[in-house]
Amino acid sequence: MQFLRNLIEKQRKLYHAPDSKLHKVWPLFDAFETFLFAPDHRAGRSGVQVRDYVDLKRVMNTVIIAMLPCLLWAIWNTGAQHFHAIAVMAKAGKVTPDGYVLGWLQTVFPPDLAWDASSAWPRPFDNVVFGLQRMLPILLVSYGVGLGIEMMFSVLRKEEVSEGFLVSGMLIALIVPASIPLWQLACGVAFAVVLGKEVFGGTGMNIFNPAMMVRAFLFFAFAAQMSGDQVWVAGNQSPSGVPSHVVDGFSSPTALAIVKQATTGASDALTSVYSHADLFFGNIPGSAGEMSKLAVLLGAFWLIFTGVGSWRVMLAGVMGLLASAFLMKSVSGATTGPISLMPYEQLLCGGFLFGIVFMATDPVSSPETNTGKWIYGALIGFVTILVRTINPAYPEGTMLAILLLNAFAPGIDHFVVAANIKRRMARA
Amino acid sequence: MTIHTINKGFDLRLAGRPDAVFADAPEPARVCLETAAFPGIKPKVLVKEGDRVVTGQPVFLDKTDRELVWCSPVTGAVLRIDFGERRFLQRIVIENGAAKGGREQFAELSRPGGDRAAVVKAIKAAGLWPLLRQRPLGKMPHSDKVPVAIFVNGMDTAPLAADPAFAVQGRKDDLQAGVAVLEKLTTGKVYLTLRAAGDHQADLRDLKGVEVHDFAGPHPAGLVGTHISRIRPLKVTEIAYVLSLQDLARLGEWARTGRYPAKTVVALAGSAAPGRKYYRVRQSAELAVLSGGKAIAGDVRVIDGTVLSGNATAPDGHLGFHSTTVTVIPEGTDQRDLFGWALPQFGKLSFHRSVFSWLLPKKEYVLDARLNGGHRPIVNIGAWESVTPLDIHPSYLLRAIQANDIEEAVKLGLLEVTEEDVALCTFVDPCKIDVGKVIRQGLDLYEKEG
Repeated sequence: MQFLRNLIEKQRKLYHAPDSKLHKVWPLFDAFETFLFAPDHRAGRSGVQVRDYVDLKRVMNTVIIAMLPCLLWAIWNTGAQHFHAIAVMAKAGKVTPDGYVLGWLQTVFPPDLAWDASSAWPRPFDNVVFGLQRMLPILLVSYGVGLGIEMMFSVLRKEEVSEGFLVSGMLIALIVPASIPLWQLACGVAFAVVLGKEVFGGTGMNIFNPAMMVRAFLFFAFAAQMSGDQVWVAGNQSPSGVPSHVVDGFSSPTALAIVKQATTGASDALTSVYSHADLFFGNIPGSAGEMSKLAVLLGAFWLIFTGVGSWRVMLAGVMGLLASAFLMKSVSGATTGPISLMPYEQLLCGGFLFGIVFMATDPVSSPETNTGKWIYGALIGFVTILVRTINPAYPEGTMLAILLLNAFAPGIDHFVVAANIKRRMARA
Repeated sequence: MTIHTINKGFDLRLAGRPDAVFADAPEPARVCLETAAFPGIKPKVLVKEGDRVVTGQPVFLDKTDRELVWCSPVTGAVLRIDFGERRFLQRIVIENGAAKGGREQFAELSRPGGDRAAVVKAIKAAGLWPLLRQRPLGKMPHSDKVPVAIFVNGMDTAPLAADPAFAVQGRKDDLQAGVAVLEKLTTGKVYLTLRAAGDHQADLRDLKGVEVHDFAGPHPAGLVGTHISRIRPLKVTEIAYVLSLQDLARLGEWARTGRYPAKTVVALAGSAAPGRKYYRVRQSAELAVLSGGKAIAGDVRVIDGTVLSGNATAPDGHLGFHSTTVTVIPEGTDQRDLFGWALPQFGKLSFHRSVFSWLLPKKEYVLDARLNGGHRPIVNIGAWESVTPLDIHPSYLLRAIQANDIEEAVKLGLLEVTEEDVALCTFVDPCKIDVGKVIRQGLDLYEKEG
């Protein structure tokens, strides 16, 4: 360890002094150095003389730990969904072992290609290999593009590189379909980091959650690869004209798509395809993060326990969603369509739980007052249900709800703070 | 008696509590009076280098209020007078004759009597007006504005702080005489705040002329800002005087004897401090008298005050006018943890549960002066709110000040806080923002704009 310190100290003089050769990229050196060793700053000599051990790096790291169950499940289930699709197609005779295209990681760890109509699926090892094969490049592109841009802006601003994107990078990987073409992802990340964050001044200054901006950009710019029934199961083929990695010809609607299209009772339509257990544990196609509600709940407990994620936002969101769903269902009296879904099934379907736990709680783009958090969370639940049930086009409303309430967050706080001022003035 | 229970806050469990025993510190070779502790004054020196002074003799006054003087706490000769830019008096160093066996002589001070104006004049002439501080602003008050209340703080919940109730043991007469002086200064009540179910309080609870309020809970339950907000919140136009129990005893000692109260009690605390206990010591004495005559050496930080509210001084420095606690902690120079942000960390203290100090609720920690991170823009994860029992929104208050919108800041409660009230915010903040510094900027700007 001392060896590492000495090595860094030697390099430091190349960067640190204002007239040194590489001083322009000092923020990059600093970011790398403080990644390894805690910075050598000490408290000022007047006022508070000691500081808590937690810094922003650790806060961000805590959130990343909270997302690990989701990521691990995503790696597993991306593979599982893929081979499930292959199994279905193989049984129908549409794919043969000869016609199976290997991905980059599968050329190193080739999957078991000796199958016939009676073969046993799933194949645990193959699942993980395939999952890594899709998730690793997504993570790499998300972090690479995002951190690259952040570092560039840090150098331009001559500021220390902030850690905010460590969480955003992971969030992005968990809210896009595993079949997303990487160039599209790169465009989305670049757009969100530059126009969603850096133009406002970087970490701590943005109005909208950067990861949600990525998804919104992709959703509207590349609708074909972000919605519909064919994008949720990743494949290896990349047919000409379709810049995508889907299992060609395999269609697998998400739970909310089934609900949206239901012409009978939505609950029956849903449970005829996916059981409640599948929805809860995550044996379903979808964006990586929205698959397993169990994984999200594990993360939620960790966030609440460590105090990094606001339990008020989470609880208010869930209660808002359930109450709104119940109200819509009972007021409309509908027996068909998405409005007829049982309230708790609204929670089991789609990305709401992931969104309210990991994205709505973003401390920068949510209200800062405790009262504001309750209002904000509840409204996200309400708007989500509104989009899901009333809007004719979009099956899912979480993204739009969170972005909308991000925009309203300062307004909500304004009223809470105004009440505080009023109390104070009443004394005067 | 009313018990106020504070729920929001945090007690830093630090190693190095002072033992509850008294010791007499030796007479210091010299004492030093600093003007920096009284921002806003325009000092004028009343003595020359080499002059002989006696205990209680004025050595400088404030040109904005010429009745207001500061007195020598020793009998001896003026050794040095330091001036800064534009001949602004910085400090006066006085040699203590008592250290060489000389006899201490006391200046004849008039004792308090008559109406408020007369009492105020007497306190100023005795050099004891600087014992008082006012809220809002947390500075020495101007005597022309009558306070609506006076708060005597009989508790201190800051980490390793001296227990005021213990420090004034056996001085009931002084305290009662002090209360009589305070009653003359205000049209309202004199409040005494005590730790609920604390020790050494029998005399204090017997005092007449004060309304006793008990406070329970974690720091900042012992801060006067918390007390005022619970007992008698101030309107924008009102002020209150605040002082510590020990300062009350000093005021009373002067009222009873007519002599300058030159001795105080200071607790030496902190993991790096030798001989941690309560010392009877001369006001403004050299720090070395607390550590056997030698300056405390090593990679340490000597703080006049507590780790949450104090000033780091040179190890060969001296006590201040108000000192009640001296804390010595390791400085932590050049100690850099490898992957400190990622590893589980069992031996570190944190308010947050992502560091595992919550697993060991009894353990006492050694903290050094490291920041443990880099400065970042505000990312508010709600920690500030969970350590602030006052009815304010710290992040919005901060932003108003940073935007120089003092009118808005006052509406948001700027006048209800000083640095010490937001010290825990600074401590727990993962972005390492010095909240107190911003608050002080705001208060300074408020004063300037009137």
